[in-house]
Amino acid sequence: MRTYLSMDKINNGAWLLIYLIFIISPVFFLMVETLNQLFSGNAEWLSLTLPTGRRLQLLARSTGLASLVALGGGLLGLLAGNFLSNWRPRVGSYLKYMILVLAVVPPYIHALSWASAFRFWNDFAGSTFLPELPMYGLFISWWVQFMALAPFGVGMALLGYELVDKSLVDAGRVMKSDFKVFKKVVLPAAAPAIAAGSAFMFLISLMDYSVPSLFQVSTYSLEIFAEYSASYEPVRAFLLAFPLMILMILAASVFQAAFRNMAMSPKQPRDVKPVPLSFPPWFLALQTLAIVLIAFQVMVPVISLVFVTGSFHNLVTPIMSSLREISSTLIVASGAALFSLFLVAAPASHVSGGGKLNYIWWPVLILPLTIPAPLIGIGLIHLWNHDLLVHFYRTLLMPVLAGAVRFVPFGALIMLARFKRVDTLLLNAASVLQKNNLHTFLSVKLPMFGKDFLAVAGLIFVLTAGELAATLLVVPSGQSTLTIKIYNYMHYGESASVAGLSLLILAISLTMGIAIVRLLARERQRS
Amino acid sequence: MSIVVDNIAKKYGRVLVMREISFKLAQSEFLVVIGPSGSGKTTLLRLIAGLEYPDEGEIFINDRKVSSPGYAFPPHKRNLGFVFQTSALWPHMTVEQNIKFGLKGLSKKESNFRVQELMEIISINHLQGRYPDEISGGEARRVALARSLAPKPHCLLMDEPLSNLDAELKDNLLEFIINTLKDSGTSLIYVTHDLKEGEQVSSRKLLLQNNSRQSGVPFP
Repeated sequence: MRTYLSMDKINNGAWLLIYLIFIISPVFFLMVETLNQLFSGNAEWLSLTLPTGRRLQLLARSTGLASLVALGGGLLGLLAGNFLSNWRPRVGSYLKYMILVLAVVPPYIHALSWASAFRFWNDFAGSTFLPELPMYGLFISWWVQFMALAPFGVGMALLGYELVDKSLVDAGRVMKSDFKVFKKVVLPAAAPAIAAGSAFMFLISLMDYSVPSLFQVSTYSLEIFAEYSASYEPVRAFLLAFPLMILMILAASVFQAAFRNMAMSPKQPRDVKPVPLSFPPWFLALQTLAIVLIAFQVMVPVISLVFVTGSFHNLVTPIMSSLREISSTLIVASGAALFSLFLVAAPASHVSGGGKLNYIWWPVLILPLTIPAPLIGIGLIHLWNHDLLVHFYRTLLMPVLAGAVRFVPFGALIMLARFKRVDTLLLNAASVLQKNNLHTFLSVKLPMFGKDFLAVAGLIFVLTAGELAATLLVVPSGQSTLTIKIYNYMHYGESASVAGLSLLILAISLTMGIAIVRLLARERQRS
Repeated sequence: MSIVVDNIAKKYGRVLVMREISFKLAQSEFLVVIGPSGSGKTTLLRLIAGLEYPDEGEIFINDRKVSSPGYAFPPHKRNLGFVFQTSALWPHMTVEQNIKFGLKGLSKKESNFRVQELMEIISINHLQGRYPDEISGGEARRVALARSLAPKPHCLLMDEPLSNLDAELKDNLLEFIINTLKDSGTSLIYVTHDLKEGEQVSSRKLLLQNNSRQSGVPFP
C-alpha cells in the first residue's frame, strides 16, 4: 500500500530532484566523464581497472583488513547485541543504546587514543615479561578500525535482536532449551541485521585511509587519492577505484538486502518482561568478554585523551589558537545537517511506499555509500569548479556538500527504517480527516517524525565534523576544519595539542551522540 | 498431568492484570478460560508455560513447584504444548521443519513417521515443503496445532487458536482437537472469548474479569 509520508506527489518529486542534483550528481558526473574520456581516445586507461603488481597487493591488503574488521564487528555484535537486548536496566532503559554514542567519534580520535594506550602498555610491559604491542602495521590498524566501527556492528545487531518477533521465541521455548531456541530461531531472525552491521563496517573500513596511513599501512583507498594528486585526472582516479567499487557494491548489496528485510520486521507487542533466556556458561563467558571489550571501546578514548592532554593549559591553548577552524567546522557541520533536514525524507518516503521503481531507487539511494570518499571530493571539484559556479566553489559550501553527499544517504536509510515501522493507517486516517496538508503536517507528521529528523540531523552534524577524506580535497584555500588541523598536527607529532583538540571533538561528538541516542531510544519505546 | 495454580497475581508496570487466581486441573481434564480483552487470559497461559514470572502466588505441575515470584522452571521441561494467538511459525523453516522442531529422543525415521502421521491426520501433508509465507492463515493454524501436538505434550495450552477462521473450518478443527486430546489423555486449557466455542470444548469454565479475581471455578 502506498503511504502518505510526503506532503504530496509534486512536493516529493521536487525534493527527489534536489536530492539527485546535490547528492547523486558528483557520482553521476564521474560516470559520464569516464565514458566521455574512454570514447575520446583514452581507452588505454581502462587497464587501471585491473590492478596488477603493487596495486593488486594493496587491494588484497585492504580487502583482508576490511574483512577482518567486519568479522570482528559481526562476532562482537552477535554476542554483545544479544546481551544488551536482554538487558533491562531499572533506571534509564535507553542506557543500552549508549553503545551507539561512540559511532559518531571520528576514527582518527580512536587512532590517537589507542596509540597512546598501546604506548602506555608497552612502557609497562617493557619492565615485565609481558609482550609489547606493535605501534605500526596491520594489527594496530585493524584494532583501531575494529574499535572505531564496533558501535555500528553492535548497534545493528542490537536492533536486529530487538526486532525478532517474540512470539516466535516463546513458541520455541516451550519445546527446546533456550540456547537451542537462540541458535535455531533468534539467530536466523537477527542474522540479516548482524550481516548488515558487518557489511557496513566492511564498507567504511575499505574506504578509510586515514587510520591505516597513520599506522604506516598503505591501502587501495589512499592509492586513489595519490593517483588523483599525481595526475589531476578524475577519470583515472575513478577507473582505479573500480575494483574497490565492485567490492563496495557487493557489501552494499548485502547491507541493502539485510536492511530492507530488517526494516520490514513486525512491530513488537507491549513491553512485557519475559523470563530471561538462560545460556550455557561458556556462552555467558564470551558475552562477558564482548561487554568488557565494549567498555574498553568507550573508556579508552576518554581516559587516554585526558591523560595525554595532561593539563588544563594544554586543553585551552590549542583551542584558543584554533577558533577559526572551530567556527569553520561548526558552519560546515551545521550546513550539512540543515541540508539533511530537507533531503532525507523524500527518498526514504518514496522507497517506503514500495513503488514500481523501487529497484531503481534503492541503488540510487545508497550509491554514494559505495563510492570511496576521495572520489566524492574529486567529483565535487570537477562538477563545481566552473566559471559560473566559482563564487560557490571558493566557499565553505563545498565541504558542506562533501558532508551531505557522504552522509545524507545514511540519514535517508535511518528515516526509511523509521517510516517502515509506522502504522500507515495513522497517516491514512489523518489524510481523510485533515483540513489541509499543513494541518496534517503540523498535527500528525511533525510530532511523529520531528525527533527522528533532529536525530538524523545531529548524526550528520557530527559525522561531517569528523569527515576528512572528501573535505580535505574541497576545502577552500586558506580555510581548514578542526579535523584537518588535527590530522596535520598528528603527522607533525604534536601530541598534547592534538589530544586537546581531539578532546574538544570528542566532547562535541559525545554530547550530540547522547542527545541522538536519547531521542531515538525514546522514539523506539513509544512506537 | 495435574496443574495447580495457587493465588496468582500479575502486574504490567502499574497495571494489575490479575490477582487471586486459583484453580486445579486434573489429568485429561479440559478447562475453558473466558474473559473480555485485557482480563489476563493470555498472561495466565504464559505464566503456566513459564514464559513470565508471577508477581504473587505459585504454580505446580505434577506436585512440583514450577513458578513463583522470580523463579521459573524451564518452559521446555514442563511437557506442555502451546498454540499461540498468532500461528508463530518460524518463517525460515518449512512446514515439516516447524512440526519436527519439538521432537526429542526419536530417531530420524521415527521423527519422520510422527510428522507424516500428524500431517495426514490434520490434512496438511500437501504443505510439507512449503514455507509459512506460502500457506494460508487457516493452514498456518493447522500447522501450529500439529507442531504443538508433535511432542505429545501432557497438557496443551491454546490461546484463541481458532479466531478469524471461517465457521465450518472452525467446527471441524475444534472437533478434531477435542477428539485427539481425549484419545491421548492430554489435558487442555483453552482460552477464548467466544462463549459458544467454549461450550463445545468443556463445561468447566474459568471466568476472568478485568483487573480482578476469577469467578466460576471452585478451588481445588
